[in-house]
Amino acid sequence: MKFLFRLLSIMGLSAIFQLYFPFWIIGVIAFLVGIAFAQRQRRWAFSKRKKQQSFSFWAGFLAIFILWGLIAWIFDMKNDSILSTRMAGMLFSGFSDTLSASVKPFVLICLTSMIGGLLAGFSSMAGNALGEIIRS
Amino acid sequence: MRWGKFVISLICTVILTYFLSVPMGGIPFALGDFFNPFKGFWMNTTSQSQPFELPNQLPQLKAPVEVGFNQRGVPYIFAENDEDAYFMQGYITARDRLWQMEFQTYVAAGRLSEIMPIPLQETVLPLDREMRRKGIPYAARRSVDGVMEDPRSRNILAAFTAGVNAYIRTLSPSSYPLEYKILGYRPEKWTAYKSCLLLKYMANMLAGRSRDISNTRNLSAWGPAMFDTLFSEPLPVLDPVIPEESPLPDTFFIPPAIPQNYLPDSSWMTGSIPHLPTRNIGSNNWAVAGVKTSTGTPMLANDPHLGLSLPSIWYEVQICVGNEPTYGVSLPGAPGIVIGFNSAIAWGLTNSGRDVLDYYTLKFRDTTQGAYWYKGKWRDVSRKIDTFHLKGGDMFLDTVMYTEFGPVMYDASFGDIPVPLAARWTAYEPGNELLTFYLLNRAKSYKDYVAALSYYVAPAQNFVFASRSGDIAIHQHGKFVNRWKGQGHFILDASDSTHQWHSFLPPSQVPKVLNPQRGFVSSANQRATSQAYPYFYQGRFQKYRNRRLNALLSQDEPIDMKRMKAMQLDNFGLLASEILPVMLGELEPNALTDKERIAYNALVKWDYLYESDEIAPTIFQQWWDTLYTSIWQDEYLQKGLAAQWPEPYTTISLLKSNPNFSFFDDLNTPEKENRRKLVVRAFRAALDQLYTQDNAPENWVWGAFKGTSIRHMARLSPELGRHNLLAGGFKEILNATSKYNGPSWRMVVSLGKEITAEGIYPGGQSGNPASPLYDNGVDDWVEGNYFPLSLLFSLDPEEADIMYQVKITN
Repeated sequence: MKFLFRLLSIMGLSAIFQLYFPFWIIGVIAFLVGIAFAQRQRRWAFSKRKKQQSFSFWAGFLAIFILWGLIAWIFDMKNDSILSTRMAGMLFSGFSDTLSASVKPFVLICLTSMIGGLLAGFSSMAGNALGEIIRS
Repeated sequence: MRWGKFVISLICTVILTYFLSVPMGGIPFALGDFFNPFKGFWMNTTSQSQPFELPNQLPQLKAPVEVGFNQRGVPYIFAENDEDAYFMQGYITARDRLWQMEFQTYVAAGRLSEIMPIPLQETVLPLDREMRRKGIPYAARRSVDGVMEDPRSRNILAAFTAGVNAYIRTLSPSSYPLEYKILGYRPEKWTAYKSCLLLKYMANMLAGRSRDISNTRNLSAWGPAMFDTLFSEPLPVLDPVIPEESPLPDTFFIPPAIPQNYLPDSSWMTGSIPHLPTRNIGSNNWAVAGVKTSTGTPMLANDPHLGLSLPSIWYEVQICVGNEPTYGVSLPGAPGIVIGFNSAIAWGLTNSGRDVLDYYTLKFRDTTQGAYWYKGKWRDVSRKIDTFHLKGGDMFLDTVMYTEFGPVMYDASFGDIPVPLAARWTAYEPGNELLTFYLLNRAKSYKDYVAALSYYVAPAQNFVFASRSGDIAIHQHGKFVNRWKGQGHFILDASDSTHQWHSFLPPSQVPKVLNPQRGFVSSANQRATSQAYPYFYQGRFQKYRNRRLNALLSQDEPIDMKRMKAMQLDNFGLLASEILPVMLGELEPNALTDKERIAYNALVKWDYLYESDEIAPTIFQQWWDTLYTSIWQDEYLQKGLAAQWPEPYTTISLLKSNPNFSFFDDLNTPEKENRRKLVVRAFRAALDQLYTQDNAPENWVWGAFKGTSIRHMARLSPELGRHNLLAGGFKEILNATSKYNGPSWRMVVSLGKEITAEGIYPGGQSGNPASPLYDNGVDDWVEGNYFPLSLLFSLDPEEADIMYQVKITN
């Protein structure tokens, strides 16, 4: 439940602030949300903390992975994949021929999601870790 | 431990953010910015949902304007006054083609190294230096002065500029055209100077080459007699633009005397010659009088052959001021319509091919090269330091000398030529081409057309004309030097005052004809006039398309629109028809192997049509190219001569008239070759090549072999172009579709009671690679189809396929 709440907060805040700020705002948001949702640590519960830590990464990662992927996917649908096919061909020019045309947009959407997801994941993890330090 | 977790994940975040925010490893964009779906390239897909969207209000307008778009995205602009019309043209052209407009000015201004990816810098910087040393920015600045002199051209250019800038102001980084995001830069403010840069970009493309250096080297290498054999133009002139029986200019202007002891020499030219690519650019245009047409009223056709690119070099538009609509194609970046028609006339352009760029050697006082000898005095050289702000932050400085003639284009530091060569070019002369097009767009009669042309300077063009009232005409217009015979054929000497440009020919002396007896006017980049024309000129002139075109136009059958289009799409290879029988005659049919016989039989049956699904054109072309190369290459290599080889036409004349011509001997073999030996050897070599490269004869289909390609204008990626199109035709053929060049716009107009017109270009109205209108014309263009072009007097949705229309208030 807490995981979902954390994920939705990052996603929602990013969707709003992305309209006004460059891409790195997702890192800032994931970081702050990480701090806000961090729990006070009990030193002996090592295993639980580990879980927390990976939870926070996945919350950030999935939030932006889904958000960016969803938006890219919607744009791509409305565009009949014209641009994504061309862009995939341009960016993966070395092995473009090995990808079939129908796969190209999907690969490009995944790449988009991964880039945003990784950044948000690490920031969320860092925020969480800082939050733990503050609260302990 | 807790701190450790925090520090590690924080470092990961910071490093990742850094890697995503700066361009890395030769990629010109920052990954984070580029992939961010809120700002990056994904945003460029959104314009597709509302491709024609325009605001409802633009405060810069003087009066309300109506704009409609048809299915293909062609804007119909209806304005009450000139300023509003050209403001909207600027606004809409920028909306569809901003990146291309600006990119072309970066090319012309020699600024590509500011924006192209750093790994390309080494290729791009010499191009930039060439543009600046050639004085394109200098010519553009002088052109601004010309435009500003006349209130009409000043107003329309100011309005156009304001329109472009009004559009640019609506943009934010997320809505920049795709190429800005890929290359990681932003649009600049548009200026009148940028529009003039675009005009000079065209002048450079069409009239920016000269064979002075190459001719001088050929002359020194072969001697005057052989030079004449190899490089003189055939006489009588082959089907000149102006029919021989046409009246000559009435008042003669005396050509200057030929200086004595004029013996150009290239012994000082030790360095390699700057590469002069032979580009297959050219055009066809013609107009047919009512006596020859099925309707009894004139028809006109034009197809300019230029480098093919996406976005396309042309943008279709109708501009209607008051109740006077004009339809045609514009050059994105300049106001007005360049080729088109209105309710009274139609006009079109082809390149004149005349040499208007000369090079002068300079005699310096001393090695500091501070002063040069000119008209009996030492004149100071002015030196200008050109700064190149390279992408990545570096700077490159180039010192360019300016003389009374023009800038010093080549010297020890550029072009590897030890003696500095100054360029003198008509493109430096201030002219007002914009006013010519403004007036042509509004012309109602032959008289109006003539008046419009008088302002035109460069690049010199054959302006074909037809009017609904029944006139047809063609004038070759531009600024032309009144040359002494031979002047500018070779490098000139600046210290000899007789070598300077004496004067310009007044517009009354240009080649021209109105309503000739034969019932048609035509041009295809051939010489404009017969020997009877009193003024000397030289250049690079077409020898095949013009003859084929005139032969078709001279036929007796009445000409209708279908035949007009068929002529533009004509794939008949006149060159092949004139040499192939000779080549086949040298083969011994009984001595052929089976593989050779397949090719031989295909050629014997061939009707000389370069159809995309035929194999004969491939075999001939491979054979002919091999033969042509084997004739010239050995002699040029032996002399270490980097200069142009004789033209195919001359080569064919020599092959026919002199089978034992000295150049037919292959210097690499001890034996002595003649035509027969070379032809047979070339046949075997060509087939070897075809069989190894493309395997079986079924794979030799002409369209695939030629592989016509429309590349992205900045060649950013093959994915942004269209490649290996199966198109018929070739260079020297009316359908002049070669690998990278071809008919960039095909237009036919019938000026009857009703005006009907059809046209197509190999691209689309949108410059956005995400739009279906980016390349929607390409397949139909390959197939030889045309779209109807409708001249609209109002935006009545019933009348044409208007998809979207908007009334814009001020």
